[in-house]
Amino acid sequence: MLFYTLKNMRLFAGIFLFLPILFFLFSLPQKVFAVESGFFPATTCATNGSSCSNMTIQDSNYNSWIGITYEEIIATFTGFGIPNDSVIDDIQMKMRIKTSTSGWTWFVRASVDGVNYFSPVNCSTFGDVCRYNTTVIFNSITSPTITWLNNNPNHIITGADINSQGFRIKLFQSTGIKNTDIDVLLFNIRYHLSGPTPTPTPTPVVPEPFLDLPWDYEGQGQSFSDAALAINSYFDHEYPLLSSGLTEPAVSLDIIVSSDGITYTKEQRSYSSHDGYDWAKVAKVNIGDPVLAAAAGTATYINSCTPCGNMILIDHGNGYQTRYLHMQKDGLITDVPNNPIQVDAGQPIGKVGATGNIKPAGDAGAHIHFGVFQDKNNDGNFDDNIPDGVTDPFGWQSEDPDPWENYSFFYGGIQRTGNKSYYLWNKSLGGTSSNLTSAGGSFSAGRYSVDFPSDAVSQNTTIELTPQPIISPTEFLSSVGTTLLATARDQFGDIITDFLEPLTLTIDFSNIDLSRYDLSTLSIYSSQDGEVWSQELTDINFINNTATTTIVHFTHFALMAERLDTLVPTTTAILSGEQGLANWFKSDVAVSLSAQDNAGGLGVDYTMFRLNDEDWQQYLIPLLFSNEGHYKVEFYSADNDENIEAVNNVEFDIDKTPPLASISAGHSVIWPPNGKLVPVKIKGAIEELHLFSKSFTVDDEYGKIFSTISEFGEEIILEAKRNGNDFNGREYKIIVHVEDLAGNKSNAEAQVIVPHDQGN
Amino acid sequence: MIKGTNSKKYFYVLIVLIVLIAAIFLLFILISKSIIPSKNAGPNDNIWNSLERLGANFSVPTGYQITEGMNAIFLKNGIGEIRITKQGTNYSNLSDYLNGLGITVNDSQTTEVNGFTAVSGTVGNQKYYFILTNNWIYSLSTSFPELYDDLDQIARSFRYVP
Repeated sequence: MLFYTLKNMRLFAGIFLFLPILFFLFSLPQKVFAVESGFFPATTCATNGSSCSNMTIQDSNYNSWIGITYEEIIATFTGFGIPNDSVIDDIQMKMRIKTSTSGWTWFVRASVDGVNYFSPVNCSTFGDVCRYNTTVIFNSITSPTITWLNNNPNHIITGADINSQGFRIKLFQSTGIKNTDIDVLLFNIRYHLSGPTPTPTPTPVVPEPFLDLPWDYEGQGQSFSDAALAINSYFDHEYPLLSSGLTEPAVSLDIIVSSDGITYTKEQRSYSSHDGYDWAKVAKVNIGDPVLAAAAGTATYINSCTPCGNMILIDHGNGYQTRYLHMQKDGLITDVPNNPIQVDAGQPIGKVGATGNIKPAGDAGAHIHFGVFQDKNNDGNFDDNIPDGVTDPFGWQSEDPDPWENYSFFYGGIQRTGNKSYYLWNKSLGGTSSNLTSAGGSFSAGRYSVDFPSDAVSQNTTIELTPQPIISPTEFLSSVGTTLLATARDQFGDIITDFLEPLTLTIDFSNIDLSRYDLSTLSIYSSQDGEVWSQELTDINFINNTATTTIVHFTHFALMAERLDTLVPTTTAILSGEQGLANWFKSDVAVSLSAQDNAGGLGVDYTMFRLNDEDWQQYLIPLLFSNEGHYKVEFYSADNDENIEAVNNVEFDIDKTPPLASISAGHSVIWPPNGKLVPVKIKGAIEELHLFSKSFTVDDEYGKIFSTISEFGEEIILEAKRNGNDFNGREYKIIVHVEDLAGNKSNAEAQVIVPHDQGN
Repeated sequence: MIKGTNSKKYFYVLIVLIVLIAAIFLLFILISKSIIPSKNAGPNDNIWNSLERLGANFSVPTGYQITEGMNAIFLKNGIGEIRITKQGTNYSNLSDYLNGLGITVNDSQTTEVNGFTAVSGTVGNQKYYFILTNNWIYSLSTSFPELYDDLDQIARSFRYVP
C-alpha cells in the first residue's frame, strides 16, 4: 500500500512537472520566418520644399534642400515594394545628414502618419548636439510604444501602409542653417508574409565533396579531423552577412548558430555574422606558413577589400569559389588584380598573414579566414551571389531547419534567399558508426582499422571509432599521431567493453614522420580512462608501416613511442649598449635572443618573446630599444619535438639623461685675507631618481685643501689668505660630481674668492 | 480493564502512525534524491564520473545526460543544462580575450584551474567559467542557479589533456 502510494506520488509528481511543460510548448507562438529587406536605398522621395529623386547609396551630391531656410523640413519616402499583405516586424533606418554650417545643431524625428513622430537612437534633441555630417540611426520603429496610424495603438502595420504612406522625416534645425544634404538614407524593413507558405524550391543536386584544408596540417602531424575542428571562429548559420556589410537584427548580435544546429552565445563561440572559418595557432597555422589551394581552380588576387587584407579567390569550376583572406603581401601566387591563373589542389597560393581586420591586432592575430561561395545563378559571377551564395563547407548537421537556407532578404534591389550548405570536405571528420553482427566484419576510421571474426558478438552491435587528439602521457612517451576511442554499444545503447572472440586492431603509420621517436619502443597502448595506459603486445611491420595487436576489448587506443628528444632548448638574452651599473644603459639597447637545443636534439623550432606583458611574438631579429624607460623582455624557445622551455626574462632600463646638479657657497667672497680658517656652508640639489654616486672636490689654486664635505649643508674650511702679488685673488672651486645608475655623469661648481683687495 | 486495553491500543496506533510518517518522509527524501542530484556532491562522493571530451578531462556528476555538438558537450539533467564549449584563440591571456570579444564578466574572479588561468563570473543570466589553455578557450556555463555548485565542481575538475 505504501509503495503503491509512493509510486502514485512519483506518477503525480511527473504529471505535475510535465503539464506545465506541455502548456508552455503549446503556448509558444507559431514559428514564422521573418523576411528582411536588408538595408537598401530609398528610390523615391519628395520634400515639401524642393524636388528629390533617384536617391542612391553614397550619393554625396544629393543637395535637395540647399537654400531652404525653414526651421522644419519634411521629406517622405515611398516605393519600397513590400508585399501589401505582409506584416511589418521591424524597421530600421540609417541616414547621414549634412549641414553646411558646423556651428548649428539639428535633430530628427520620423513618422508615418505625420501626426505621431518617434525618435532616433541619436540626434533626437538639440541636446544631442548633432552638427555637420552625422549618421542618424532609427531602431525598432515598430516599438509598441509608438502609435502608428490614426492614433490607433492596435493597428497592425502592413506592407500596404508602408507602400501607400511611406515615411516622413522631419528635420528640426537651428535657424540659420542654409544648406542641408542627405547623403545616405537606408531602410531595413523586416516583415513576414501573412499569406500561404511559399512553394518550396526543388531539392538541388548534392555536390561532390572536393575541398581539403588550406594548410599543410598533415605535415604538422595532424589528422584531418583534429585540424579541421581546431577552429578559432565558426560559420554563423543565422546571419552570415559579413561579406555584404548587412547588419543582423539587434537581438541576434550575440548569437551564433553553428553547423551542428545549436545556438551559442558569443561567450561560447565567436563570432556573429561570420561567413567562414578562421584557423590559427591551435590548428598549427602560424604566420608565414604556406596557404594551400583547397582544390584546383582559377586563382584571382583581390586587394580592394580593406578588412580582408590580401585575398585570393579560387573558382573551382564546379559552381563553388573559395576565398583566403589576410595573407601576407609577400609570397602571393599572383598579386595582380583581375589576372586569373590556374592552380592545382594543395598548391601554395600565399603565406599566412595578418593583413586587414584581425583580432588581436598585429602579427599575433595571424590566421586564415576561409570562405566558400556558390554561384547560385550559374552566371559565372560569384559577386552577384554575395551574400546569398555563402556556404558552410561543414554542411548543416541538424534535423532542424537551417536558418541560413531559409532566410529571405532584400539586397541590392533583389529578393534573395540564403544558401543550402553541404559537407564539401573530401575527407571525413572521422568517427565511423557501423553495425557489427555475429558474422563479423571490418571497420576503419582514418589510420585505424578493426577486424572482427565471426561470433565476436552475440547480438547486433554498433561500433563507433572516433579519432582523438594526440597525447603525451609521460615526459618521454608520446602518441604517434592521433589516438582512437573505440566504442561498442548493444541494441539498448549500453556500452560493451569485452568481446567473445579476439579482434585485430591495425594502425597505419605510413604517413607519419617517425624521426622524433625511438622506433624500438613503438607499440600499441590501451587505456580505460585515457589517463593510465597499458602496453599491448604489438606486431610492428616496417614494410607495410603498420602496427597490429590482438585484443578482446574496446577502449582508448594509441600507437606510442618514446621521444628521442625530451630536453628543452635553452635561450639566453644578450644585451648590447653602453652599460652602467647592472642592467642600466645610457644608450640604445639591442637584445639578441640566442637559443640552443640540447646535444643530439632535433634543433630549435622557434623563439617567442613579449615585451612588457604585451602579446607574444616570434623572435626573428634582434630587438632594438631607443626610448628611455624600463623594459621587461620575456622569452622562451621550443624545439622541433615540441619541448618547450620555461619562460625566462630579462629586465633593463634605458636612461640617457644626465643627472641635474646645482651648488652654491654661503660666501662667494672671503674678506679680510687675515689668514684665518673660515667655514663656508655649501648648499645645492640633485635631480635624479636613480642616483649612483655623489662626491665633492675642492679645487684651491694654491693647492692647500684643509677639508672637504660629503653632503650638502655641510661646511667647508677655507683659508682667508692670498699672496700679495695675486691680483686676481685666490680662487676656490667647490665641485659636486654626480653619476646615475646608467653611467650618465654631470657636475656643478661654486666659486669662492679671497680677493686682492676689498674692491676687487 | 477495557479502558486500559483501549489506551494501549491507542498507544500502539500512535506509534505505528509515527513510524509510518517517518518512513514516508525518509522514502520521499530518497526519491527526491534519485530525481535531483545532490548539490553538494563532489568527486570524493563516488558518484562523479570522469568525462574526457574536447581535449580535456572533467568530473561530471551522475544523473547527467551527455550529448555532443561541434566542439561542444551538453550535460543535461532534470533541472537544466551545463554547457562546455571550446574554440581556438590567438589571444595570449584571458583578459585580452574577453576584452577583444567584448565580453563583460560581472563579479569576475580570476583563479587557476590545474595550472591554467580561469575567469569566473556572470554574463547576463548565466554563470560562466572561461579557462585558457594553449590557445584554447574553454567555456563552461549554465543559466540554472541550481546547477551552480555542479558547474563549480566540474570547472575545478578540469584537466587539459591535449
